[in-house]
This record gives sequence, structure tokens and C-alpha cells, in this order.
Amino acid sequence: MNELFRIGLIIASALITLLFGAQWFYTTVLNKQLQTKHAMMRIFNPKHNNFVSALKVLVPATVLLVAISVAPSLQYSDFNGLEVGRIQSDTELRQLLSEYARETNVLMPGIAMTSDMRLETASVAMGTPAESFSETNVQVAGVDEMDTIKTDGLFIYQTRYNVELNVEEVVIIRAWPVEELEAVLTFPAIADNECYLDVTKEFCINESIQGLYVDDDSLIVISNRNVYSNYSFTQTASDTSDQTARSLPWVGNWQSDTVVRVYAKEDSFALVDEYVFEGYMIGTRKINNDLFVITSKFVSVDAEELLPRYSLNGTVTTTDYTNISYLRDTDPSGFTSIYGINLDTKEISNQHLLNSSSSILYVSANNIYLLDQRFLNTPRMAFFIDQGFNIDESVSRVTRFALDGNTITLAAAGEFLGTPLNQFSMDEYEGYLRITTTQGFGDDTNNRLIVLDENLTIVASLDKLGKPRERLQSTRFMGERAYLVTFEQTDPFYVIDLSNPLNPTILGELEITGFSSYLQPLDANHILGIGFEADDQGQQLGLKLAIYNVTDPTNPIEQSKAVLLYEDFGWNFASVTYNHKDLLLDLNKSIIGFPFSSYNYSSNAYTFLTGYMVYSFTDLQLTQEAFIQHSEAVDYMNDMQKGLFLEDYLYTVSRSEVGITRLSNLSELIALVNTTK
Amino acid sequence: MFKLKTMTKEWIDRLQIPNATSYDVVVTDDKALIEDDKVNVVFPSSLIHQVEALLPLLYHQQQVYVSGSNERGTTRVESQDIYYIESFGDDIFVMTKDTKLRTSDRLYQIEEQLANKDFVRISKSLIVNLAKVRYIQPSINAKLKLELLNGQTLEVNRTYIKPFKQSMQL
Repeated sequence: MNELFRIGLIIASALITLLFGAQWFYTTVLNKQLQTKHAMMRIFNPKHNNFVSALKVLVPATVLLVAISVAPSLQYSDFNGLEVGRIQSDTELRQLLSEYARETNVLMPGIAMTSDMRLETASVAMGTPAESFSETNVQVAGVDEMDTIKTDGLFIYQTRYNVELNVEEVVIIRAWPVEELEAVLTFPAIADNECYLDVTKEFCINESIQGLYVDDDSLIVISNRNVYSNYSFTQTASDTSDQTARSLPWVGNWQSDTVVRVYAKEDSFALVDEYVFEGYMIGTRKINNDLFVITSKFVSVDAEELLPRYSLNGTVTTTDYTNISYLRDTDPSGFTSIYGINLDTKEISNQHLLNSSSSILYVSANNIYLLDQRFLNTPRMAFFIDQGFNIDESVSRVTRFALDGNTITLAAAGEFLGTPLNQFSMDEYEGYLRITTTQGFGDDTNNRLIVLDENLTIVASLDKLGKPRERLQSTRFMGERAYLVTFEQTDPFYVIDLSNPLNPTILGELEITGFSSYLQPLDANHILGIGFEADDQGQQLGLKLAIYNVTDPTNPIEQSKAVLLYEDFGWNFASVTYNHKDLLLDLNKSIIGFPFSSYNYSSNAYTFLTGYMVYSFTDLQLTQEAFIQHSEAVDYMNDMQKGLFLEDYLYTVSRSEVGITRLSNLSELIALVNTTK
Repeated sequence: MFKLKTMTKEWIDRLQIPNATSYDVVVTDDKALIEDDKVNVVFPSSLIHQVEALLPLLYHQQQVYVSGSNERGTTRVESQDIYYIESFGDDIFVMTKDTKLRTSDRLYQIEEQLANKDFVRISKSLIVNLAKVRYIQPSINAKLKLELLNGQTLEVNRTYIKPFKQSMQL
């Protein structure tokens, strides 16, 4: 469509140029003839002003050409709330899908099966949990986010990869009281590693655990179940040649389902419910006792059943057409499905959006916001010649689903230019959705902060944030304020006032070296930035922690900073720079902690070191307290994953070990238990 | 109309006589170049001013008058002073530089009178004097716009474009 439009424009402007050119030539010829005739008639009239008549031809031509080349780029600068379309029938759905021509895939019948992931049985006694324990660092208070390691004060629940069995597993570790630290139960995910050699099996199933939730009564494990066609089976059915047999067994079609399993804590973690949703997982959230699962499913027009299906304990339900919507100008390749599960009543509410795929998920207490991208070809004069790269403008579309308990309703949709960075780029406050987004590349980069009302229509925007060429690196909204970081060579840290949502203004900025990729508020006036130190040329030098003081928002200052340079620690790596859930933050204890690993390259080998980095920020001064290492700190398969507080004990969890230190003496391990045995 | 037969550069520049395929007047400074059954103007270099003044007379040969009346009475006007002639139903108007005369003649009769005077019909109701056209501007709708010496603009209708262009041929 866009390509055709561009070709059309090129032809149109070529025609216009040709037309005006021809007219100009014709005029010249005619007037030359007239002059000759006059000469013969012995009449010598005063000369006509050719310049004026040339203008008469050239000006309309130029105006037309400019209009035709500028018009399309102007067209997309307006934004409106998006229309939401409804689908009534199977025919309509197939037609919408077939407009977006795709290669057809034969899909696996993934939904039908259910199985207990837990094979190991053991009696697990309960106990008295710790009085206080740390929770996952989440974006919105009250909206729990899935994580790989969680605790309920009594047990530590961990998902990890089991190297020996080549399978992912959930391990339950008794963590309280401190003396009884041990792994009590391990159950692996379903992974049939031998399936590919078995010619009698048509499909192979492999599960990967995505994360878990823990509440008072239950443990909830969420995994992706991938169903592949068995290469050995298909080969015996047709032709077997050694050449093709050596290629990957995964070749062929596959489908992914999202499986949610609920285990009862009181009943030695017996499986209570098993929910299966079609499509791979995009994200999950848990608000009180309602679990929200967002999946994405590809469909092919050839499939018999197009509508998304889900099952509860083996009972399959196909969703209704009333739950399916699509946005104007969509390029659908499948469904993005939002499921709301009430874990008590086991009711499932669902909504489905026909689109290509969704990228970013932001959930506030009352709304789910889903982002997907659409690309625009914007033809302009300069781009009439194919330059061999994409000149597309990226448009983000945001859809709001209102929540009432576990009931989901599609409330509004809208679109805006640019691409937000992550879930922290969005925030809802008093009915307004605030988004930071980066539009364009290179010299055309435009970092914007936009404010959308509840109909997702843009009501205000703050453009051209940061210096030219800089891109947004992190954002954090805090009520009536927003903090942003842009970066290309140095880090301007911006404080933006949003007390009037219709008129956002920059209050102050601070320019320092390096940049923060994650911003964490410590209190109303202090922000912790985690990111990278860089020199004034933009070259990254190492990991950096900094506390910004915004007591005077017009003049933010860097209160204190800590830098872990590559030249001191080797090339170092901290997942906390992109995964906020890996940050342990205890405001009462003034402690932050995160897993930290480093690689040191020598002439022909490298050494790996993994551990848990603990900093205190008493009196807002960052001080390194400890670097906790387990016994196998040099094994890269045993990387440090998480730190947790249970009362005044810090538990550090690596893939195969759990260590305990006291808050009063963080450098000394008082217990270290291998959880793989 | 005219044919200039000379090798003197000054004359070519000065007289500005275009090359025509058919001609009936030969202008030359060499007696050897005179042609039979043609009007021959032979002159020495010193008399070029007089020849220059003579050439328009030779071109127009004889004066043709069209008579008509305006609010001050009946008068006649020489064909070379007419800009264009326009008809409004039964009324025919002869437009000159500063007045318009109503005439009782029919448009085709005037057209016949002025046949050799470089008047061209450009629409059903308009005859224009080619000598008074300053500039031709083709427009997108395949018509021609004529700008006259007095600044007025006339339009050549599609059917009359071909005869109009032919009238400009030498």
C-alpha cells in the first residue's frame, strides 16, 4: 500500500514536471513565431516581459510539486483516538486476515492436553514465616509482577535451568528459620528430550518456565509450552535422506501455549488448577487475587479454527466473536489476548485484539495498556530515490483495557509517533496517561513526552527533549513529576513538571557524564539512577550508581555516585541495568543490592566472577558494603540471580546455592547450602 | 513577403527581415540579383533609412478602412489601428486603442475585407489583429490566451487554434 502510494507520487510529480515543461516549450515556440511574423509585418512591439510569464508557469509547478511531496508527511502529524472495529463472523475474520498476505502455517493442536508438571511428591510441612520479607521491586504499587525468584517469608521459590537433566525446574527452598535452610522440593518442567529420536511420536513438547507468583495460599507457575513437529516422524512418513536428517529436529511448525499452574501450599504443593492459553506469553500481572495473562498467537487463514481458545483443567473454551476487536489500519497476523483470571472463583474474562504483535505492557491499578507498533512509509522528495534503507516512521498504538476485578473491557485506543523504550515509559496518573517516546533516528531524533486523556487522544506534548541526536535512556514518573534521561555523549537528567497535565514544562536539568538506564525513586526528593559511566565522548567505562537530589527541581544535583569501572573489574555486567526486578531495595535499611558479574580476559583465557553487590545509602551517600560470593563464584553456570531480605538476614540466591549473611556483617556468610542435591 | 539579398551584415541586423518561403519583394544592394516578375527594391547603403520607411508601405500596400459610429458620430478607422472586432448577436463592435465603434456590416463581410491584412478569427464572435498581439500564453485547457498591446486578454477557442497557428506561418 505505502509502496504503491510512493510510486504513484513519483509518477504524478514526473507527469506534472513534464506537463509544465511541455507548456513552457510550446509557449516559447509560439511567441518566437509571432515575433518573426511581426518582423515581416515591419512591426516592432515593445518586448514582452518573459520573466513574469516564466514565473506564471514555474510558480504553480513548484507549489504543486512541493505540496505533493510535503502533504504525506504532514498527514501523519495529527493524532486522534483510534476507531475500534468489531468482528461479527468467521468470513469477516478470514477476510481481514487474508488482506495481510502471509505464508500459511499448519498449526499444532496445542491446546488439548493437560498434565501435572509436578512429578516429584513429598510432604512439605509449613511453619511460621519471617515477620518481614522483601517483595519484588515493581513499577506500580499493588500490581505484582512475575519473577524468577520470590519469597513468602517461609520458602524461597526459584526457577532455574537444570544442567544435568537439560530441563527447567522449580525449586522450593525452606528459608525460615535460618538454621533449617534446605531445598525441600524440586519439580522439573515437561521436556521430552528424547522425543526427536522417537519415530512414533508426531509432536514434541518442551516447556520453559517464565516465572512465578506467590501469595498466602498458592504458588503460581507460568510457563510457555512449545509444541514442535517431530522431524523423525515426518521423515519416516516420506523420504529419508541423510543430508536432511542431520538438520535441526526443530525444523517444522510449532505452536506456543501459555500454561498457568496453581499449586496449593497447604497441601504439599499439589496441583490445584491448570490453565492453558493459546499463544506465547507477552506478560503477566497480578492484582490482589486476579491474575492477568497476555498472550500472542499467530493464526493462518487456512486453519480450521481461528478463534483463540483456552482451557481450565482440560475443559476447552473457544472465545466468542463479541470479545474480538481490531484497530483501524491493522496488519493482522494473529491475536493478542488478554485473560483475567479470578483465582478464587476460576472465572476467566477475555478480550482479544487482532493485530501483528504487541511489545510493551503497562498495567496500572485500573487499566491495562498494550502497545504495538505500526510502520509508515513517508514519501518525501529526498527519498524518491530508493536509498536502500528503511525511511519509515514508527507509529505506536496504545490500547486501554479497563479492569473491574478480573473483568476486562476494551475502553479506548490511540496512536502517536515514535517508540517508547519500556514499561517505565508509560504511567497513568489521575486519568491521564503520560508516555515518553523517541521518534526518528540520527539528526532527526525527537524525544517527546506526551499526555493522553482517557480516550487516548493527545492533549499535550513536550517535544525535542535532550540535545540533537540524543535518545531517551530511561524514564520514571512520580505523581506530578517525571524524570528522564537522554544520552548520546553526556547525560542530561531532566525534571519535568506535570502538575498541569495540559501543560508539561521542564523544571530543571543536570548534565553529567554517563547515563542511567533505570531510575528508582528513593523518596520524594531523591532518585537513584542505575546505568553506565561514560567519558565525554560517550565511550562506556563501567557501571554507575548515582543519587540525584531534586529538592530544588530547577537545579537537580548529583548527591553521590559509585562507579565500578571496567578497567578495575574487567568487563562487568549487571542485569539490573535493564531488569528492575533484579534490584533489591530496602528503604528502611537503606540498602540496595543487585547481582554483579565480571569477565576478565587474559591472553588466552578469561576468568569469570559472579557475586552479589550490596551498597548502603545512609545519609544519601552510596557506600559499598559487601560483594558476597558463593563457593562456586567462578562458574558462569552458577551465576548470582537474586538477593532477598527475611527480617535482618540477606539471602543471596545463585543458580545452585543459597547463602545467608547478617545485615550487621554482610561480608561473612553464616550459611551456604547447595540446593541441587 | 520580403526577401533580403545582401552580404552586408549591417543590413541584416538593421532590417530584421526573416527568411520566408514565398516572397514578392526582393530587397537588394546588387543589381545582378534582381528577379523578374517580382518587385525589386535596389538601393545603395546610404539610403537605408528611406528603404526602412518604405517597407511597411510595401507590406500593407493599400489602406483599408472600416466605418462605424460611436456616441460622437460616425467615423472610419484604418485596419492597422484596429485591435479586434467582436460581435454581440447583431451588434458588431470594432475595438481600437481608445474607442469602440458600432458597425452595421456583418462579421464575415469585415473578415473578407481584411483578408490580406493579417486578421485572424479566433472564435465565433472574434477577429483579432495579429499585429496587436504581444504575447501568446497556452493554458492547461488546450486554449491559447492572447495578450494584446493594450493589456487586454483574448482567448483562442479550440477549433480556431489550427487556423491561428497557420496565420503566423510566413
